[in-house]
Amino acid sequence: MGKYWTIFVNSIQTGFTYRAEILFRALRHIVLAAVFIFLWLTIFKTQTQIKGFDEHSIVTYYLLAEILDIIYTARPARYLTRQIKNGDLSFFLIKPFSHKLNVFAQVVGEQVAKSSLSVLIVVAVFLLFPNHIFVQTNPLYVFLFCLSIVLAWILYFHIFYFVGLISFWFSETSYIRMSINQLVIILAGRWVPLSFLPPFLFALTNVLPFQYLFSFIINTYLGKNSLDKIVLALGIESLWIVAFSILISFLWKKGAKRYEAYGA
Amino acid sequence: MKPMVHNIVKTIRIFFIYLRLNFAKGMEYRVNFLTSLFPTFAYSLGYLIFIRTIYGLVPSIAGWTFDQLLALFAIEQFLLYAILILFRQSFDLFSESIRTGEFDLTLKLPISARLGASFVHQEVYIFAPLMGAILIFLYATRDFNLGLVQYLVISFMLCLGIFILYNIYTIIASLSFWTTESAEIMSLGDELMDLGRYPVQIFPQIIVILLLFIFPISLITLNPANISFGIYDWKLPTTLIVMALISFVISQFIWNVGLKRYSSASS
Repeated sequence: MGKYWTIFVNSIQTGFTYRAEILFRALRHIVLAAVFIFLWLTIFKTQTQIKGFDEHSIVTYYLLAEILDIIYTARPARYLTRQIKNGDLSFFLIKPFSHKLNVFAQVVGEQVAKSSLSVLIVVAVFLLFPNHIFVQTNPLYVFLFCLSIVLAWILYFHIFYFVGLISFWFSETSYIRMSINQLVIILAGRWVPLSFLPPFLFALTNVLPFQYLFSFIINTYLGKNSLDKIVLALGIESLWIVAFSILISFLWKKGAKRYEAYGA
Repeated sequence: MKPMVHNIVKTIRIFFIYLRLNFAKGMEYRVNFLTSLFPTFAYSLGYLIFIRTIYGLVPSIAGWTFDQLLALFAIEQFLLYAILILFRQSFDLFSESIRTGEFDLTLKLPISARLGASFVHQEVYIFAPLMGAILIFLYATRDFNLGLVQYLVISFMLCLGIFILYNIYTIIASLSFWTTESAEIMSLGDELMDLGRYPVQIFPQIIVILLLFIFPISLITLNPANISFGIYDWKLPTTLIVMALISFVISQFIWNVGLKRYSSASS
C-alpha cells in the first residue's frame, strides 16, 4: 500500500505546481455556475416551485453540480489512453503493482490538488449570496452526502478507466471519450435535475449508473431522498462499481494481449 | 492608400494560402472529419434536451421562445467552430512557441508575424460540426421567413463577429509575451463564449455591459439573431462595427508592444 501512497503524495505535489491553472479553472467553474443560476433565477421570477424545486434548492443544485464537476476533473481515461498510445504502459507492465491502483493513486492525488482551491473559491463566492443557498443541518444527511461523493468518485473512476481501455483496440479514442462524457453529463443531471427531464429519459436515467455522479448526491444533500432510498441507492451504486471492476479486469486481460509497443 | 490596399490584399492572399495548406494537411486524416461529429453531436443533443426540458416547464425565458433560443445557440456554436477552424489552435501553439523560443521561426517568415502566428494551424476537420451549427440555425429559423438579404446581412455580421473574436484572442495570446499563463486565460475566454448563447436579459446589468463591450460575445451573437427575428435596430450593428475597429486597433497595439519585448530563447 505504501507505494501507492507515495504515488498519491507525488501526484498532489505535482498538481500544486500549476497554481495558476487551478485558479483559472475555478474562475471557469464560477462562470458556468453563475450562468445556470442566472438562467434559473429568471425562470423562477414567474414561478415559485417547479417539480419540488424552489429558488433556493435550484441555486444550491447548480452550486453543488459545479463543485462535483470540479471533483471529476481528473481524467483516468485520457491518462490510460496516453500510456497505451505512446507505449509508456510497457513500463508499468513489468512493475510489481496493479496498474489500476497506480492510476487511481495518481488521479486521486491530481484531483486533491486541483479540487482543493477550486472548491474553496467556488464556495467562497457563493457564500457571498447566502440568501439563495440551502444549508443542510441534519448531520446524518451531511454524512450520507459525503459518503455518496466518495462512492461516486470511485464509480466515476471505474467508468472512465473502462472507457480508457478502448484504446487497446482503437488508436484514436478522444472523440469516443468526449462523446461519452457529454452523454454522461446530461444523463447524470449535471445540466438539469433529472426529475425535470421528459418521462422516458427520466426512466432511462433510473436504470443507468450515471445518476449517482450528480443527481443522487445533490438530492441527498437537499433532503429530497428518503433514508431508505439512500441506503438502497448506495447498495446499487456499490454493485455498479463491482460490475465495472469485473468488466475492467476482463478487458484488461484481453487488451494486454493485444498491446504492442515499439521497442518492447 | 495604395500600400494599405496592397497590404490588405496580401494579407487575404496569405490567409487563403494557409487555409489551403491546412486543408490539404487535414485531408490526410479524413476520418477526423467524421469522428469530430460525435462529441459535437452529443453536446448539441445534450443542450437540446436541456433547453427542451426547460421549455417543457415554462413557455418562455425572458420573453424568448424555444426557436429563438435555439437560433442563438446555433449562432454561438457557429462562431465557436469557426474560430476553432481558423485560429484558436494557432494561438495555443503560439503561447507554447514563446516558451520554447520556436516563435523565432515565425519571425523569420517574410510575412507579418501576427499573421504567421494566427493562422499557421487550422483545424479544418471541424468543418463538419460547423455545418451542423448551420443546420440547427436553419431548423430554428424555419418559420422566420428569412430572405437572401437577411442571410447576407447575417453572414456579414458573423464575419465581423469572427473578426472581433480574432482580435480578442490576439490580445489574450499577446499576453504570452509577459506571462506563461495566457493559455489558461484563453480557456477562460472559451468558457465566456458560452454566455453568448443565452439572452442578455437573464444577466445583471454589470454582466450585460461586460458581454456587450468588454468581451462582446453577446453583442456578436445578438446582432445576427436580431436580424433573423426581424428586429432591425441601428444601434447594435453600429456598436458591432465600432467594436470591430476598436478591437483591431487595441489588439495591434498590444501585439506590437509585446513583440518588442520578445527575446528569443537563444538570444
